[in-house]
Amino acid sequence: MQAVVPLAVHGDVLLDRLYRTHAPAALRFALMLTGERELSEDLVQEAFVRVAAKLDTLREPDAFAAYLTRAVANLAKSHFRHQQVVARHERTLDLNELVVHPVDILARDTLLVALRRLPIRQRAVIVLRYYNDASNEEIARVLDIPVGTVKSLLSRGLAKLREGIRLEGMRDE
Amino acid sequence: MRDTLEDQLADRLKSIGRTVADDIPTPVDLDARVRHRRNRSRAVRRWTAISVAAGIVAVVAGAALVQRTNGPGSVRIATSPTTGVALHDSLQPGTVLLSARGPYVISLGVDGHTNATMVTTKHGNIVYARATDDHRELWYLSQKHGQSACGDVVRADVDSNSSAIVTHAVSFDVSPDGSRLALYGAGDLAAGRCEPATRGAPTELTVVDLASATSSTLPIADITSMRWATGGDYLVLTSCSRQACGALRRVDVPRDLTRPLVDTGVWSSAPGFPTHVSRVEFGQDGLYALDVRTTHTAKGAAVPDSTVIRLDVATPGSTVEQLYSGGGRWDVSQIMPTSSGTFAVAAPVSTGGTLGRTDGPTGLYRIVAGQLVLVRNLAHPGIFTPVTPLFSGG
Repeated sequence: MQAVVPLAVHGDVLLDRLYRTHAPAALRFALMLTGERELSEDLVQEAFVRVAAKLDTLREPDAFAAYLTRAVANLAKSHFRHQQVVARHERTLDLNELVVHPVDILARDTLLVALRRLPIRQRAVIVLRYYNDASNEEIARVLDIPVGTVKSLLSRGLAKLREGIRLEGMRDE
Repeated sequence: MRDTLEDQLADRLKSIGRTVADDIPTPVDLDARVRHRRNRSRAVRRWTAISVAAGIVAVVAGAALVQRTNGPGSVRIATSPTTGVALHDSLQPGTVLLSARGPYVISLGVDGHTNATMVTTKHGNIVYARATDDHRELWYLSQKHGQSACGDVVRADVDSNSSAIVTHAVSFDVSPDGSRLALYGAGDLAAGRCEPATRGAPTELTVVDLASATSSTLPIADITSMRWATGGDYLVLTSCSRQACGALRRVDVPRDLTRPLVDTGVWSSAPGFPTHVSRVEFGQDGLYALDVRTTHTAKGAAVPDSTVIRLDVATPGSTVEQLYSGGGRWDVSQIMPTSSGTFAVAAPVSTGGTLGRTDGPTGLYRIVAGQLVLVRNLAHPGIFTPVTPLFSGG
């Protein structure tokens, strides 16, 4: 048995196949994190480029999907952090606009709006748990964080979500 | 135990998930971006290494060179019109066979006539071609330097008119779903480095998973051809010398290619099981094997005695059906089980320098009730492979 890294790295056919295999799931994950289709596609492409470029140094080439998911989460985090910095400088920040961006999802869905308000790591953990049905251990492996951190992010995320829904409900009333 | 909020959350997320299609087109510049990124990463790593170990010459292992070609430069693929049915068929309607012949891959209908010229190469001879079960891809082996030499394993996308050399091997087969390649040859096949399978060179069978980029390798010698089982879980191998062919061998391929390939050796030694197999092809109702032995005429001339047998793949040692026996009069060289019947390439046997011309010409035949029925004269038939019908999955 041996890794087939050079084959995978060379030739757009294999990249094409890797992309077609893994991009849809990564795009779903990105869309749930960001709520924006266009942004999600950009994030997935960039994440794919980064992971595929390092195929020859990955410890577990089999875990390509996990690496891709982690890269998407990290890029999303960087994106929102950058957005926050830009907004702070411009001093025209509308908090709702920054965290909601409900372009492609239901803008009036209280639950999803509340989800968008969560910090990105909490969002990522919640999506992996409730969309991918991943265990704490699997989430920890994908996001490269300790299991204890997963548990606390999940717990805090759900608590904020409940609170967010309550506040959204009050606003709608 | 989930509460109501958690259930609602799961439902909402799944509804978002359903808005994303399962098939996302690959960005056209993806390959260039990956290469650019890789080169940049390598440069950073190289400079880091140099700074840490100043004065020491860093030997950077060269990456395997897998040549790429695209479209009109070397390969032309003729697209086929759509069938007009709901499910798009990339091949011409009615295609039951592919023929690799010289620089061409040709699709043929049930009457043995050309449906379309699918591929034309400018260099080399195409010695094997196979369509994936979804008919979107043609994989073929193009050789420039003879049978034991390494050829280009090429994947052609029928719809987009594009093709690329994926790797190199002496022989290969693609799994029916197009997800795995079985490669045979010497050298480091997993890294795209093939060496000719000349006498004495250590040869290997390597299975590559194209999606996960993993592979598994098995040292093995004297393989003439190999075929993927319909489910993609094992390979059947044939081995022929100049004198005779041997028994079928089976190699089990694990789903996870970090595990080894398992050579089960001779598949079965049950009575009636073929022991001199020159060709195999999987059909929808089993494995078709061509058993060729040498027999002698009354005058002592050695002639081939061909038998076509269908095996039940679930219990290959116990269920054997003989479909045709040449009786020393016909030299059957290929068999192709299709949804439109079992085809064979056959030529009248030459006895003592005299061809049995009264039996018929060299060409494409169908096996009907134990007899060969001429479909079409073909002086140079090429190498045929059956095409699985697009709707065979039901």
